[in-house]
Amino acid sequence: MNKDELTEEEKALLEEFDSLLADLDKTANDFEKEAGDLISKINNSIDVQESRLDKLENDLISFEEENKDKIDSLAIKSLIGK
Amino acid sequence: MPLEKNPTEIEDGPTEEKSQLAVESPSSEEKDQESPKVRFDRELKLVSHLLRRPLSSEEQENLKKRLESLGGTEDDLRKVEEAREKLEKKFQQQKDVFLQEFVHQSPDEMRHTINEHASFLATIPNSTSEDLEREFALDPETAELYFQLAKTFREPTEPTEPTEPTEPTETAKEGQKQDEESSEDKEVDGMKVGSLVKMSFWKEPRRVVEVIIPETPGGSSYVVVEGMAKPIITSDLETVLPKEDTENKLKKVKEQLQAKIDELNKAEEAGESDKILEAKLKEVRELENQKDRLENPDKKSEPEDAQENQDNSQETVKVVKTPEQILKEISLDNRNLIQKLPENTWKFFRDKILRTPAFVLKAFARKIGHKFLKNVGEVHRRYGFVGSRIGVLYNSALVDREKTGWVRYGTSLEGLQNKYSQNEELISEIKGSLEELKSEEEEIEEGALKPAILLKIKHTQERLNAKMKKALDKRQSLGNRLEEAKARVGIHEARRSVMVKELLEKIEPNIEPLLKDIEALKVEREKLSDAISKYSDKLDEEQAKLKETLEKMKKFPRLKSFLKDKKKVHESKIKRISGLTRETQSQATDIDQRLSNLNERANPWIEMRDKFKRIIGEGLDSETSGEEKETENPPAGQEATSA
Repeated sequence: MNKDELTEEEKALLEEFDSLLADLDKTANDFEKEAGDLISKINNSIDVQESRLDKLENDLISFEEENKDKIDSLAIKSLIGK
Repeated sequence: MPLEKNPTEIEDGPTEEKSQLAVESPSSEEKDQESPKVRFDRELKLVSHLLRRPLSSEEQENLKKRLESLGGTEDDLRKVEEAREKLEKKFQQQKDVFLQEFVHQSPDEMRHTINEHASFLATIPNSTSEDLEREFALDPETAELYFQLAKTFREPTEPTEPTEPTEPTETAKEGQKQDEESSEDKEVDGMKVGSLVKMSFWKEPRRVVEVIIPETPGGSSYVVVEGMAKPIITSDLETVLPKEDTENKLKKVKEQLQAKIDELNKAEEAGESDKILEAKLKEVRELENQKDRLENPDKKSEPEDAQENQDNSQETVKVVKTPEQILKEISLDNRNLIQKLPENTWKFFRDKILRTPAFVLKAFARKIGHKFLKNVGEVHRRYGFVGSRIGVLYNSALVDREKTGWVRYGTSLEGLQNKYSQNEELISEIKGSLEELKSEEEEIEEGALKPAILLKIKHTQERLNAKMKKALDKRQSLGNRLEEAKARVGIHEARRSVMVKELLEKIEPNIEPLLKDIEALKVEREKLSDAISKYSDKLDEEQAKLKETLEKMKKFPRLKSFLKDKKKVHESKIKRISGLTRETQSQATDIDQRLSNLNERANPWIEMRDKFKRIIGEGLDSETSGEEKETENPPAGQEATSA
């Protein structure tokens, strides 16, 4: 059936439906964009924190290795006088 | 089997024992039905019973008296003594046979315990059950039981059934002889009496003198070697071919090899077909390999193993061994090394390495085993042991010691200080007493008693002066020790402060921004949760409206042709939206997991920083500041899943 043959009420219903669909589409797009932005921001920040922890751990590992004897002696020996 | 019937066969035995044994021995049917555990318990009980002394000297005296009161002569008494001795001898023989049989048939676990006790006893000349009592903290009765059992260990003999009291020694000898013969026939993993075996750390191989085969299927086999009291489990040993055997074999192989080479040359000259030549060449190669193996026994495994590895790789699914089985296959040195590793590292080995197929592990152990094990630091770095060493700087046991200032004298700084002040109190007390005496002396009135009182005061003064001298000496020595201890603790604290400051310089610049960013991340994560809930509400609302409109449209028959298309579009939109929501949720869950991991990783460092700050007395007054920080960063996982 042709759209022109429809009554005003019927036309209005069809238009309402189309506009609701457009709204739904817009909302979904907005959601996708906002959530996507937030997710990528959070993930990037987590990456930064992880690399920061990597650096800290590596620093401490080398510190431990370099000062192995010093740390060990501090642990107990210097107190009990050995 | 003599175990059950021997005691009851003792016709002249002590009536008490006889009756008890008669009561405890079950019927043959019952014996068949009872479980090995019940049988074992019953037999153990029987052993403890049999080990009781047949007649004590007191009992002998009583017996004599009783006989005399009954009007017996000395001759009768002698006969009774003889009969008793005979009985005791018989009893002892049967007891020995029973014990040997008992040890022989007892479960592996029990035998290992007895073996351990026997090995210990072998190290002590003239050992008694009291030695076992002390060494293994046993009660006297159990120690006596194990002592008797240990004596019979490693002498399993066939049970004999003495028919005549005079014969048992011969039958016992026969039994022993039979057993010796059978022991010589025994062979476990290519080891038999006389063969040479070697442990990985022995310089020279040793000769096997006895083979102990497990009674129960699946039990471990042991061998006794020259110069060692304790039997050794066969899986720890390797068989070594005697040098003469190897030389003879090598000679034979060389001869065969030469013959085969000649054959090959002749075949080549005769122009034989390639197939025949190839077969002959293969034989020559095999013999060459054999020769190489005999000449270099250490190098032998490589080509063979490569082949073996290939074979194994084809059937990896079939070869699934337990970690314990695999561990057995590793050399003793490596095994010890593995077992000495910290628990977490061992767990890593067990779960990550020992679960791999046997051939991979073998190759691994052979090629990089030692290198890898030595580089435990690398394992620590990879599997979360970072900071274990610097952790000792705030180790709680150590901190406790510091609080009391543990010093080399086996006492604490606090203890020394207490001792010093106690000594000071004593000194002032003595001083007071001396002053009192002095004033007393001045106040004495003239009279007959004056000399006596003066003498008494003089004696007391002498005693107090001696005490004072001792206290002053003690003050000197305690003072020196206290000074040294204070200096020692001071030096330690200063050194540690330097170290801790250095560490803080490394930790702080990373931790501070990390904490700030984690806070910011939490805010972002909340925003995401809000967005998810806001949009899902809105989308639900809009979808409901659409559904409503669709329902309205259904009431208009003329819209039917449009309805189909609209429905299709509607469904596709719904599909897209549900996919979008699902995907966003899953990404949010991933983020939660990452955040939780981040917190888990950061918390130890935050805790460490707080403890270090406390050590150098900077900020962070409360003990719980570290914990507060930890709770400030809870795994964000829980928040998002609700969104």
